[in-house]
Amino acid sequence: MWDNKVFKCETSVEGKGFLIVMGDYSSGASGTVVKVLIMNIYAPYSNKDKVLLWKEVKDKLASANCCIRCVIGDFNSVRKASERKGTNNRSVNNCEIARFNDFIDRCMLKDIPGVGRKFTWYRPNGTTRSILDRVLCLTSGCCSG
Amino acid sequence: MCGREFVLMKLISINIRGLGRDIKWKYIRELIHKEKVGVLCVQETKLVSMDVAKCFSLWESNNIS
Repeated sequence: MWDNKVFKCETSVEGKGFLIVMGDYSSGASGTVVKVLIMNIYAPYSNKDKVLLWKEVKDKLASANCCIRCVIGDFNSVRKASERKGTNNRSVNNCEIARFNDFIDRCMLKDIPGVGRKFTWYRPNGTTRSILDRVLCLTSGCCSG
Repeated sequence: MCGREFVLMKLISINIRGLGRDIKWKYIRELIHKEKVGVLCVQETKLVSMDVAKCFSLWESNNIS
């Protein structure tokens, strides 16, 4: 959802675990307009499906002609073991971590660090906590130089 | 960054775990106004369809998509 005064959507693409909108973003008082891609992620639980999603995200990012690309939402993955704390050690999967980091690197996405609470997901009874939600950004293309 | 220009983008991404309760809509509405947010990305709404009037109420405007 967006304020039409701020963002003008030109195209949108919907897929399994993601929703993309591309268009013009008007920046604050200066009125600068930039082409942006915003991808809202809701990653699946299964590793197999995640692999497919990372591939699709990578392809979509590469084919888009935008100055700013934001990939945000629930990735259902962590970047290091310390981002998943809890009683269930099985929940830390090193292959999955490596794949997720590889995906972020290959897409040249910058991981914007969070402020405030250390974890983004807490099991209601408090036994498990993780960082599953992130903001990944890439600024490039027409704006470089 | 676009050349020497500074681009300010304000987006909210929220994993809401169900958007059925009004208190959650109120929370998002207050956040949008406090932070002057332009774009909202929601995950896990657990809704089959979005109530357009409720969406308008978030920005207190019908000029939203």
